[in-house]
Amino acid sequence: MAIVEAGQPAVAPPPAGVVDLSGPRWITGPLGAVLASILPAEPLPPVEVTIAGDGRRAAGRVNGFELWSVAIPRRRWLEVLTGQIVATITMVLRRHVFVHAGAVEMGGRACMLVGDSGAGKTSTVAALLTRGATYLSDEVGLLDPETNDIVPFHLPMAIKRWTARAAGRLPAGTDVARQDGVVFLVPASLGRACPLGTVILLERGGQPEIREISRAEALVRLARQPSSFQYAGRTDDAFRAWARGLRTARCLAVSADRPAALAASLIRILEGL
Amino acid sequence: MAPRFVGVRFDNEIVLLDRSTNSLIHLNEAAAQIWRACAAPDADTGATPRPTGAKTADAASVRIALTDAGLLRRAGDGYVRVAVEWP
Repeated sequence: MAIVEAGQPAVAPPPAGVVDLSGPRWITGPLGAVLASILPAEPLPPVEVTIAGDGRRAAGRVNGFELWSVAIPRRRWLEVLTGQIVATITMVLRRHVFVHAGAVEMGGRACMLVGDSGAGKTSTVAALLTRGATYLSDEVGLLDPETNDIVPFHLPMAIKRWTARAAGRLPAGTDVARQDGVVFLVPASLGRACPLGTVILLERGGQPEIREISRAEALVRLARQPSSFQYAGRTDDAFRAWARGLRTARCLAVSADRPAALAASLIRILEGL
Repeated sequence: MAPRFVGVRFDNEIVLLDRSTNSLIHLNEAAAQIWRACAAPDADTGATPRPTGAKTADAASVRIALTDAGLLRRAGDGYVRVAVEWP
């Protein structure tokens, strides 16, 4: 996969996978490269994103109906548009339920990292990947209610400078795009759908600590994140699915300024040592 | 019509989804015990049994909170649990 520098004309826009993109190539090229690694977990209605010719606005349509229209910022627009499109994809899911979370696979079980933006999800995912875990997602914890599996959502990791510093070193992988100091990295080691084994709630600050929490507490805290719980008509689905998914999961809360620094301990826990 | 609450038990704790507000209510072990100690409406007939509830000051404040949350209702001099769907 070639690296596409945002702002530079791409040779040809790569296929965007689950989204039909149209607009100037200097935007659709890098955006297509970032979205190309996402495989639909279920059949989705047509999602179309149209970028205005001057690159200042974008609009999202599902089944022909415009759902959103946003001004494209001058900086970090790749991250903004990617976030907008991922939110649209999660909104139109009918079978799967999601929560804003990172996820890795270790020993055939999924570990989901849940926390507010800036809590250290990406750096912790990166640190776990360098210690033998395989990649499921950086943004979307996707649960299949029929199989109880966490399903991969292989959106590239958006690695910022401080993420790279916090992670220590980055996992092997392919940079599919770069923009304003953010590297969009598809890790080399991709995980497969597997049952949820561990949920880690990341809490910012305080003394570094890993402690057990109850599944009930984990469910309530998970529901506070951007997730299927917030979509009208899907709250019941989300409640039932995550309640089932958590039944056999170990739930931990991790407090630390840099949770990635605890990756070695977390790996031992995930390995059951 | 589906009950207002749908619940799930984890060990000795309970989480309930309040469909009227789309919010979750977490009953820790102590609160779950107090809630369960109150009488439940008969599953078949819907008839309200004699209300029950331990008479301690702590339990009383928990029951008031559970009543405010809609999980209990006053019945005579006691409390009765509301119907909950357990998937």
